[in-house]
Amino acid sequence: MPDQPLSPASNVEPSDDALFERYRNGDAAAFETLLARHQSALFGFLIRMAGDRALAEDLFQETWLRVVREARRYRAEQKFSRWLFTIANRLAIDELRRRKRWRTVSVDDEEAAVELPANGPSAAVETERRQTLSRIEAALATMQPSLRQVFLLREHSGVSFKEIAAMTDAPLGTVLWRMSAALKHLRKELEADGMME
Amino acid sequence: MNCEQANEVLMLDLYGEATAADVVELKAHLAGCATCRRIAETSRAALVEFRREATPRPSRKTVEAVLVAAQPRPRLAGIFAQLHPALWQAAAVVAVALIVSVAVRFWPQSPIQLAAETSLTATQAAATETSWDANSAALSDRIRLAQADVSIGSSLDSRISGLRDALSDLRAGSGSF
Repeated sequence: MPDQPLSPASNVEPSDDALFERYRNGDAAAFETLLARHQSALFGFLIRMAGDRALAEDLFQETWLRVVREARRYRAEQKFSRWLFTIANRLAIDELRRRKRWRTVSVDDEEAAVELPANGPSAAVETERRQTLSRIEAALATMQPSLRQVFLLREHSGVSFKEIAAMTDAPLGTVLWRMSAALKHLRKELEADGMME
Repeated sequence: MNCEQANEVLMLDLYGEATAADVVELKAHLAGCATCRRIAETSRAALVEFRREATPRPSRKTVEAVLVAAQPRPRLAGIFAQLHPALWQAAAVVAVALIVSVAVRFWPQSPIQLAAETSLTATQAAATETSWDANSAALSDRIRLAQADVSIGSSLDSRISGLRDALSDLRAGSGSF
């Protein structure tokens, strides 16, 4: 979720930093905009990290509460999305280490609200979509946590590999190797299912 | 560029983070390396599959809980800013009334002013005022008398001193008697 520069002369939406500054000055609507902007990416990261919808909901809530509590400590030169995902990543890793368990998201979970096309998919397309989703979730569930962490951070947070290296206290080369290994794992799972040629 | 380096640059290139020079080198490597070329192709395809899937959203309940928790607590200045002008006027009236009442309470009072507050009659107040004046006059008289006493005392002291001098002179001159 790239930050956009604030340009009052155009219709460009305010940057994350501008919104967060407005929120720090008491503008609740600015926070709502910020939440709407990042909720999908953040929740996608958390649910795929945790493999558990209920836990992902808790982590999602806790991440934003930390953002609120530590609002005064946020520095504008720090990218908001990086700060947000650093908090989320730390919370997720701590919680998963504490629980010592990894579960997959059930595709039959009725509460798993997913974004669907406005006109709605046909039954065949929906079945195929669910199979693909199931395969991807299974691939993520069996992926080494450190590989999954890098892969999901890069896919969902929009922060660069360099920033991920800083967030995870790992050298850039290691981060790139983990990304490569994660993709290899994903490829293997999808190829085994005949989804990729 | 060897295969390991090509793999690193490929990861960067998948997300648009590789430099133009690195991309040129990567393309040259892929042109001559079938293994890396296949990795590059399948990696891109895997990402396409992954991104094709919709991202789950948090429940409305969770989002609402976050929004409630994030409600900014109004600061003192914010509270004042939200006050209606009529409330400001009322607050000003109360403030003036408070100042006046405090000033009246602690201002120096004469017996007549005091009478107004202690429900004395006008006659009682006048009598108290007269008595106050009389006491003041009596006190002035005592001060004057005391000053006179002091004056007399100093006069006596000078006379005694004179007598002592005379006595000394007499003793000194006694031999001549």
